[in-house]
Amino acid sequence: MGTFYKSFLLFSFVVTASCLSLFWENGTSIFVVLFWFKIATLGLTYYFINSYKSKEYYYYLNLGVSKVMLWTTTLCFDFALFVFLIIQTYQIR
Amino acid sequence: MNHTLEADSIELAFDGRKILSSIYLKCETGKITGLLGRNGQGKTCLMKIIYGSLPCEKSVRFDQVAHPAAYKRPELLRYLPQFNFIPKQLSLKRIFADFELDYTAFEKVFPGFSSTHKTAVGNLSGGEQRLVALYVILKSKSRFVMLDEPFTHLTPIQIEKAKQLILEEKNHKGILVTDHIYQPIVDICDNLYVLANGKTHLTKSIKDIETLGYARI
Repeated sequence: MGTFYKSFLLFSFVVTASCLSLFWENGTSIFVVLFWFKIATLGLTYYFINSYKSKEYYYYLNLGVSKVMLWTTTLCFDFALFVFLIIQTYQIR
Repeated sequence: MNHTLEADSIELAFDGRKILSSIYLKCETGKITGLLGRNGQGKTCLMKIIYGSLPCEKSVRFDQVAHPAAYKRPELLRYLPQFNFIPKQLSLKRIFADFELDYTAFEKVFPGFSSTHKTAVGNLSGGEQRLVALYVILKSKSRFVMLDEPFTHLTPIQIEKAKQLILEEKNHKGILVTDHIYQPIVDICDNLYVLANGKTHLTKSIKDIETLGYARI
């Protein structure tokens, strides 16, 4: 799972960091926009990884990890991390 | 203990064109089953259907028990696709750890890999990448393995070593193998199917390969 997550970790980190920065500057008024922006980037991540790294699914399949499990776990973790960091930023701010 | 893998009742069509029908294929522990066929006859599709990654109408049974999604059970079946599927950034050490294999045993068979333990697989040549992929799929714990074009990119010497590995491993599992480099397949297989006109034909002699239009012997 970690290996798969690393394939889009940098992009995800940049998006989350940008969202946190904007949230710090603008507060809760911008939360809904950031929420949907993060969802949209996760959709884009799925599209591009699915297009360019689909052959690698067989590596994970041979280890007993299905495509659904890969995506469900990594996307849920990434989004949960995003929400957690937004809450932390709100409390510090 | 002997195990069997059977596939039949497979119906596959693309845009109304029938690719596979009237398929029957059996693979057993201790036997190498070869699958030959011209381009576009559906060899790879058939393997993907057995593996469960290509959905269609089918019956795939392991020891008489249906497993339509065998990819969820690597202890039953592992699959070497015809392309490089290992993430390029992974080191050989990591790959062997993932598949619970001993790297030193690999080094003994292929001494050329003695200093590449920490090398990322993407930095190896095409043939070396294929050897690593073939080895980890073939050697890891599973009742059956399917090898789609395992000899692609390999040198003649590497092909001979790969044949030996496959022959050794058949003592522990059932092996289904296909490749257009068909002579090694003919050399090592116990049963040989030719896929032609959407059907599998179990050959009785080497001449059947020619009769079924696959190759001139």
